[in-house]
Amino acid sequence: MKPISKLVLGCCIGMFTSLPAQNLEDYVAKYTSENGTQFMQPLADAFGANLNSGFFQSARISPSGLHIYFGVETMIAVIGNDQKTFLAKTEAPFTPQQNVSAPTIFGSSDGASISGTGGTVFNFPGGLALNKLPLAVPQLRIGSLRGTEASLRFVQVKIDETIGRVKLLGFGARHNLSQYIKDSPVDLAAGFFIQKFDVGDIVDASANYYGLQTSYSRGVMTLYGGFGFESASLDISYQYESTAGNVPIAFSLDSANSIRLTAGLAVNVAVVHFHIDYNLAAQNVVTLGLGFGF
Amino acid sequence: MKKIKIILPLCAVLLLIGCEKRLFHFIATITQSPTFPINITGNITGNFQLLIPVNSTAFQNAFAIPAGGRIARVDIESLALRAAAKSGNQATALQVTGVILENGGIQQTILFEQDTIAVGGADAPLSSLKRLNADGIGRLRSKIEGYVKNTTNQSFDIQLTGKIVPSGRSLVIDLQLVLIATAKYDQCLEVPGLFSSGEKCGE
Repeated sequence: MKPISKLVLGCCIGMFTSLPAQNLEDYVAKYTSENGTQFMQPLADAFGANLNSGFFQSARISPSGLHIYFGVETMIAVIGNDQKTFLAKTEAPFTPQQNVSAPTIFGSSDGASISGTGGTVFNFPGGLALNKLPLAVPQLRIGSLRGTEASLRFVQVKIDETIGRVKLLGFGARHNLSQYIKDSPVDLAAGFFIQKFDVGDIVDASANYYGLQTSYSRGVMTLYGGFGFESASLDISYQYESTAGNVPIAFSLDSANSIRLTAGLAVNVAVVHFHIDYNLAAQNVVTLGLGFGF
Repeated sequence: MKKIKIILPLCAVLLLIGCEKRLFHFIATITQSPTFPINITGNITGNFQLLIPVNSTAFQNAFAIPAGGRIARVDIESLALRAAAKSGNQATALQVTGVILENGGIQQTILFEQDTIAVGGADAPLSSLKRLNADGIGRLRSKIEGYVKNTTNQSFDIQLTGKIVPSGRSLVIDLQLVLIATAKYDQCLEVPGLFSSGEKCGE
């Protein structure tokens, strides 16, 4: 069992940890084909968008000197109604084949049922009834060399011998552009961020973001914004131990490439930094961050 | 530094506060697919008969309700047969009728009637049974629900009778019966209420 529970543990730290392994298998194992891809796709979209959030809370990067920031970024993907249902198809040997609107993994916990030949019934599983998908990661930024800073995200937790470890590794860099513009009224920067997320041999996810940022500071407040491009993928592969033998379950889920617009507010008091922003994209995300730096 | 150590874990914990119990409806699939060798040669009548014993053990082994769960219902999703030809087989199809026999055959309920299935090669596809009888499916559903709810363990048989097509040809096959049932069960689980719109337990 087992793998799928930890998959979700890794993907949605905090939300699903309370769901027992058998339940999680029952959620996913019902689907092994096209239905499964559509059932799981919103998870890939939301998880990828969460990963691609929280890289910056300002475009100000000092041209030189040692600057270190360490904090926790909490991303919350807002799940829209259109991500809660999909058009599911009954699977053979159930007859006759029919289509029905069924919940995705974020949809209603009430599944859908459809009647077939001679009193048979095809049941589609319900979802987790989620309105938001949270993710929290630690982040380190260090700079700066000629107006360039590096960012790092790293989490590694060993779950058990069967699953192995959950590992998130991300790195990126940003460069100060406003240093090349004389008397620029705002700070400008450009950067990229690449992340890889694994849960043992079961989950292999990646996310990429690159874009431009701008910010304007007055006193302890900073208004900031960004324009970027993002992409993400989530591959899941494991053997489901069913009563009819092992069934390979594999999903390869790509999030649509998306333009992302970010608008946020940061408050910086001495070494304490807090920020909140909203990311408008194919998958909208709210980000909250709290950290310490100088 | 001490403050950092306190505040950062606090942020993560913030996600988990306000846990509430929500009702989740799960679906577990129970598949039973026993295979029976059939070897009929020199039978000019072209008829065959097979008795498949069904007992609670296989179903109880296949599905164990999680602690705190409550089975709402069991449904029969599908019944199918696979006829895989072996060396010496001459039949091209079977016309099969299935009957549930209870209490030593005193109580009989037709499960499906005169369904025709093709005899294929070793990797023959499943043939869905299309002439299912609602009373038979209802009876089968009730028996399996009793097994997984552990309210009965009375065994029964599924009798398969039929004709070899073309009549009088040798029938040397592995016949597999595939029964797919789904168990809907409810369970209250604690999740962060902040993120869930699910049904509260006790509603």
